[in-house]
Amino acid sequence: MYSDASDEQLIQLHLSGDPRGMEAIYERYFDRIYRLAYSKLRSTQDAEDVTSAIFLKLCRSLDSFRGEAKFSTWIYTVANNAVMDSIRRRRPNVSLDADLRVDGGESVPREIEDDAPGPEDHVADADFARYVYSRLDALPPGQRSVIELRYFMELSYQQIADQLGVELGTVKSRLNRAIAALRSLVSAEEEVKASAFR
Amino acid sequence: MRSDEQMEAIEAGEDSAIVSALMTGATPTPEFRARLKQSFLTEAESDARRRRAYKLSILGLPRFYINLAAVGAAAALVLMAFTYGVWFRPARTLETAEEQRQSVALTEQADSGPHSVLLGPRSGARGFAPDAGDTADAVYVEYSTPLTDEVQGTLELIAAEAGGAVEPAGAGDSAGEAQAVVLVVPSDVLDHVLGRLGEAVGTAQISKPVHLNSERVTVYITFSPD
Repeated sequence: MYSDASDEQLIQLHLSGDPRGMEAIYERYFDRIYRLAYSKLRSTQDAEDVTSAIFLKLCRSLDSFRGEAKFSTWIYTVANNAVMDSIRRRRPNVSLDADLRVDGGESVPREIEDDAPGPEDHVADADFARYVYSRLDALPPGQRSVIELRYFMELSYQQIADQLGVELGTVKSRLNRAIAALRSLVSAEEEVKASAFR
Repeated sequence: MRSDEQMEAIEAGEDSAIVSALMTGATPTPEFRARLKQSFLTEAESDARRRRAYKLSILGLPRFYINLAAVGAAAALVLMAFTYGVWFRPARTLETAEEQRQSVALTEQADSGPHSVLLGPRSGARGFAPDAGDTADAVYVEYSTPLTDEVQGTLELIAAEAGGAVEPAGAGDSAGEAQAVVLVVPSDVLDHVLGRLGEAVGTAQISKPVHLNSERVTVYITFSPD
């Protein structure tokens, strides 16, 4: 019924006391928010928790939405903040790079277990996707933001440029470089793994 | 700069696997989607109801201002309760003409100057007088002849003709003292009364106010035989 209405029209409808437009908002943004949360948290449970918190607080948070920006960029900011809060809460105080202290005062190098699937797990698409997600942390922040806005939040190039405050050409070049970087990361891992089997 | 079409071709080309992985790699479970949707729509309904109630608040004013007005009114009531004696001080009762005259007299006495005038009843005081109808102007008529019974009768006759009356003066009963008669007559016939006195009793020294402010005039007639 409200699938053709813009985000801003749906929000105005809700602010005027009619909640019917919020179902369309949910259908539009549920996957986007979840993808964004999962890409940073890489835990299904944590992604679900953060996605729930964002949506359950969304209606009351609308008072801070003044319509100066597009709703898609506003909710991206809200979601990003919620995800970063979640990361801060769960992050241990000890650096993962620090050596472990064992009984007797000796320190041993920490072996960090990487849950991310390796190239050998690329047989299934889902596993490959999770592997690609795990490589996102290796990207510079500017390139990662473009990836998030383009493929998770599904914004147009122009909307991304507006959100980031950069030129349209900058958005496209960053996106190109980001994808190329991901491709090379995946390829390098595959070669390393393949050479190990030779 | 690459066009959007070129960008889409790149995304659909050799990098399509990565792009596809990014866009479909994280898929929430249908159970979670349905469960959160139900909670979200319930929350949205509740929030919309709250906004409707807010919109329909008194006169369409934001609730904040209504609360502010209520608090202000309550504070004013409390303040008024504490300052009852100031805001609701009993009003002065209206003074009777007699009380006012006494008050003025006391004031004039306090002045006690040699030329101060004691304003008494029927003093003939002029000027603004809210109860002027209660205060009679006074005219003083002095005769140097004695008051005889004949003159007394004449005075009663004149007073009766003028629609007034002779009132006892209460002084000068003993021989040799000045005797007084008081006539109270309507103001509009004062000149006629004074003229009749001149015709019937004789010429006298008359002292009267320039303007008359009362409906009735008190004429003090004194007889002081030298």
